[in-house]
Parts: sequence; C-alpha cells; structure tokens
Amino acid sequence: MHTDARELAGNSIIEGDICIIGAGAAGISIALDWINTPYKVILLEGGGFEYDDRVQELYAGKTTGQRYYPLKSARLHYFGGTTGHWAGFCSTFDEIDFEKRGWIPHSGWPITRKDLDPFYLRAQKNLELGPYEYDWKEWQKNDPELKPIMKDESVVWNKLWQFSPPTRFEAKYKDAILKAKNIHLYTYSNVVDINANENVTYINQVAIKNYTGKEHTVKAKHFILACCSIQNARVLLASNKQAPKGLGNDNDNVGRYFMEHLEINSGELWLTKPDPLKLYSLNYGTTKARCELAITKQQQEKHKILNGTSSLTPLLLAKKMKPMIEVWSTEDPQKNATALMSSFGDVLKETEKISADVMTKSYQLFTRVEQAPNPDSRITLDTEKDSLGMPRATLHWVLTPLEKHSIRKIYEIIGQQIGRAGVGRVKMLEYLWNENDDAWPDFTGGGWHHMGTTRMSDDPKNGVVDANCKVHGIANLHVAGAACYATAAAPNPTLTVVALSLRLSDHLKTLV
Amino acid sequence: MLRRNFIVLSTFAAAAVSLPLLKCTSADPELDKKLAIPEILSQLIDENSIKDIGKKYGSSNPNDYSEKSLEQELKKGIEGKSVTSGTPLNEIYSILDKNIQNDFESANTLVISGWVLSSTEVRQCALFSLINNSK
Repeated sequence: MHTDARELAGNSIIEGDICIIGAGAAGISIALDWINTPYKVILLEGGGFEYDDRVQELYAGKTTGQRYYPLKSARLHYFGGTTGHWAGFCSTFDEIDFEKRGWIPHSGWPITRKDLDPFYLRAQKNLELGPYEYDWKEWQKNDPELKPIMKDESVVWNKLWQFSPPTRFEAKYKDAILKAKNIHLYTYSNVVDINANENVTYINQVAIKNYTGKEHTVKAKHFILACCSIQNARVLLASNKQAPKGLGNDNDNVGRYFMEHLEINSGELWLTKPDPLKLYSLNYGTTKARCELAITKQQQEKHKILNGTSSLTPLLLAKKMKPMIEVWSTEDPQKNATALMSSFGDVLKETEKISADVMTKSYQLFTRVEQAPNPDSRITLDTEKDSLGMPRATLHWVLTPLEKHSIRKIYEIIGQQIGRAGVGRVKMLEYLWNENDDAWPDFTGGGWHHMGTTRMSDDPKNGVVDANCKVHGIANLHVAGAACYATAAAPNPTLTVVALSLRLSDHLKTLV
Repeated sequence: MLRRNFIVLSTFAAAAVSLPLLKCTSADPELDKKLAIPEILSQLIDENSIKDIGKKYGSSNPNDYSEKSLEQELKKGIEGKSVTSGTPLNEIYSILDKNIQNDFESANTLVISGWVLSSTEVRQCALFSLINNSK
C-alpha cells in the first residue's frame, strides 16, 4: 500500500507495529521480510519513486578533511535509495574482519562471520546473485579457463566477488511492496525529529515532513533507522530536544568512526607472457563472478596491516580512465553517473583495436582497502539548515598512516608472490615508494561506501548499537545497514548491509 | 625487450666500452657479463631502467656497489652449487633463477623505483650498471 504524504491532511497520525525509516537496500529488505505477517509495517521514504532534485538537495552538506565526493550526489534519495545507481559488486566479509586485531585500534565486532552466514544466504536472493558460493574452485568446475595466477594461496589468495545485475530495488521490489496489504509505504516522508519518553529510554513517535510544509506523526512499537550512515547519524544528532547531545549519544559516539573504502590505483603487474587472466577479468554486465588478489589472515597478522584486495584491469585500458574522484565531481548524481559511464565507454572504444597480446601483458593493480576505525573521521551537524529545517550534515573524512602502510605492504607481498611464481614483476606507483611518506595523491578516492557512524559494540562507551543493532539505552530504536559496521572489511558493503538487515529483521520478530 | 637482444647488446657494450674499467675492479670480467643479466626483468624493462635500478641500489648500499663485491654475492649458489668461471651459461642462469626464487620465497626483496625485486636481481642490475657505467 502506498500513500504520498504530500497528499495527506496536515498533522496526520500514522500508526503501526514497526516503522522503517528509509527505503533503500536495508529498509526494503526488512519490509519484504515482513510481508504476510500479522504486523502493520510503516515504511517511510523521504523521496518519491524517481529522482527529485528538491528532495536530493536535502542530502547536501559540507566536506572537510580528505577530499571527498559532494555529499548531495554521493547517495540517491528516492525509493530504492542508492541501488538506483550502484554497480552490483558483492562479496562476503572475512572471519578476520569481525575479530579484535591488536594492531587496528577500535577493531572487533560483538558478532562473528558465522552469525552472518545464514543471512548472507538470504541476501544473495534479494540481490539476484548466483549460488552462495565464494570459492573460485567451485566456479572453475564450470569454466576451466578460470585459473589462478599463483597456485599457492598460503600468502595471497583469490577472493571472489559476485555481480548483481545490479538489482535496482525500485524496479524490482516496488510492486511487491505496493501490493503487500500489511506494508504501508509513505513517500515524501522525511523524518525530522525522533521523540522519546521522559527518560529517553523509549521512542514514542517520529515527526515527518516534506517540502509542501506538511508535517505528520508516526507512532510504532519499534523504529528502525535505515537511511544510510550519514543520514542516520544526522537524524540522531538532530533529535536533541530531550537529549542535548542527540539520541543514543551519551558517550559521544554518534557520527564518529565514519569509514569509506579507499579505492585507489596502486601499481602495475607486468607479465613475461600475455595472459587474459580470466579469473580476474570483468566484462561488466556479463561476468557473474571474478576474483581479486587478497592477503591471508596470517599475513595480515604478521605484517600488522588492514584487510584489502587488488583488482586487475588491462593497463592500457586502465591508464585511459580518469580517477573517480575527478569524474564524480558535481552535486548532480545523474550528471556524474552519465559522465562515469561515458568515460568507460570512451575508453572501451579507444582500446578495442589493441591486440589481445598487448592488452594482456600488463595490468593495473587497483586497491580496495578498509580504513582503520577512527573517531576523528566523523559526521557532525552544520549550523546551516535544509529546507525542512534540519541541520545539514558535515563530513570530516580522516585517514591514518595505517592505510597507506597497508597498501604498500599489500603490494610488497603480492610482488613477492608474483616473483616467486616466476610469471612477472609488480611495480608500485610513485606515491607508495617512500615508506615514510604518509601523504595521499590527488587521485585518492572512496567507493561511495559510507560505513560506521552508529557502530556496533557490546559496550555503550565504544559504540552506538549493540549486537542486535539496537541503540544502547533505548529499548525500541534500531539501526539497519552499514552504519552499524565496527570495521569496514574490504568488500563493497551492500551484500553485508542486506545480510545484517535480515538478521535485525529476524530479531525484531522476536520482540513484537 | 627480448632477452636475446638484451644479452647481445650488453655483451657488445661491455666488451667495447667497459673492459678497461673492468680490468681494474673485477676478478672475472667475462663472468660478470653473464651474471649481470636479470633474466625476467630484462623482458619487462629496458637497459636504462635496469641501470637506474642498479645505480639506486648502489647509492644506498655503497659498500656493496663494486664489481668485486657484487660478483662475490652473485656467485654464491645453493645446495652445494655455486658459479665459477667454468660454469656453463645455462647453469649460471639456473642457479641465479633458483636464488631469485628463494629471495622471493623468503621475502629477501627490495623495492626500487617501485619494482618489487629479489635481492639477487637487484645486484644483477647493480653489476649491469657498473659494467655499462660510461654509457
């Protein structure tokens, strides 16, 4: 069922059993999981069913610290959320990602990889992925041409990614949501305040607003914030009438530990013989699975480094591509997406006549690495307000020397293993040559992966939500999505976002 | 560059230009020429880049930057096999290859000009740069 909140009479009161705030990958996954249950589910979406710049503008905000994409265009603000332009890269987190690692401050989750396994299986379906199989050897059974560049995986292993079509949640799930009798979707419903009881231990209601000026109230037994890491923190911090520092923020953790994946060109692989390296190649739209080079847990422990992987792209092709931080430069997400696709298209045209032998002798090594959880990397509220009266979010993105040290070490290890295999040599890019240089080059960018800000911890002093994604100290307020991540791992976050949301969904069913 | 061309070029160059210099500093100039070919690297980068790597190694390791010292190190073999002036060329390459493999396996590597290289092949580059110093 669907209601456009712009059409409702002002000051309407909406009531349900659970209220999901945000209709992106996390929120829609939870809503789908509640279809045909005896419960009334309120699903709130700030935008409509398509791009609306007046709504998108609510995401605008300042960035300081490490250069970053414009906040307005880094997320999509309509039904389906950022699945409207995501690329579909999916892989599971590793066991080590959940562990407390002595060399990484603030690492460690209160849950393990095993706790997520059954939910990864379910998330695969939501994202229209293949079988829940992330061992490349199983994929090789159907395609013998999938061969590893190094046979020994005791130091560098082959971590598999699967590719979603990519699933656009708006197109794929809109009908199911609208047809579900117990799911009540309200579009143009931006939460502008969360109201708690006197002791701030229980949420009574939330206030929603849209650009018509109409304001409504939503009451429910349980509330789930699912508006992405930046907006979740923003709403909690801005709900400060009863708790001056913001809801769930008694220990000053809300908004802190903002994490991104550093995605950066880092080196070159030169082979003595041309090799198409099919196991690692990506033909976008066709490839169902491919590997990236990853560092084993033992090596990460030995060298005290972050978890990261390296993807391989023919060097001649990669060299013609502009850095993402330069292409994705405007406030308009649609314009940026067009520029990005056009940039890829131009490169493919330019390189299509180059012989396979030349194309497959050298590869770009492109890093995707977690950033160390850092309390100084954070979301705060600006003094400037948006058109609904909400303080805008400001992002201060901060990296540490550990990220650069880790990237350099990753390529030293990969270079040693490539040399050991006798197939070629690895060359690092110049910004990695000096191990005492912590500076980042201009082309440093992220993967548009916003994580942290309401991190998970058993201890309220160290996190905002507990192992069940419930905000510490507030009985019926939960957070869904990557905001709960205690560490970022190497893979793109969407598969784990959906898995973690389905885990929360199951938990909520035990509470209502 | 093709390895064969590289060897031919290097040998001619060494014979034509560097022999007087080698006379003073190397115990076995002919052997040095054979030792100074980083086989895999020479398939990937040109002579100047190899010399550049060698010189960079030399500037940060001056005590190891003489033909005598480098020859001593490169002649060391493993499992009882070492290089002498009478060792056939293919066997020299085989011993060096094995040493390079061992370097990578034991992380006995250096990063020079961004290249992750085995200590053995870096010394080969250094020796090559000395042999072709005047070029």
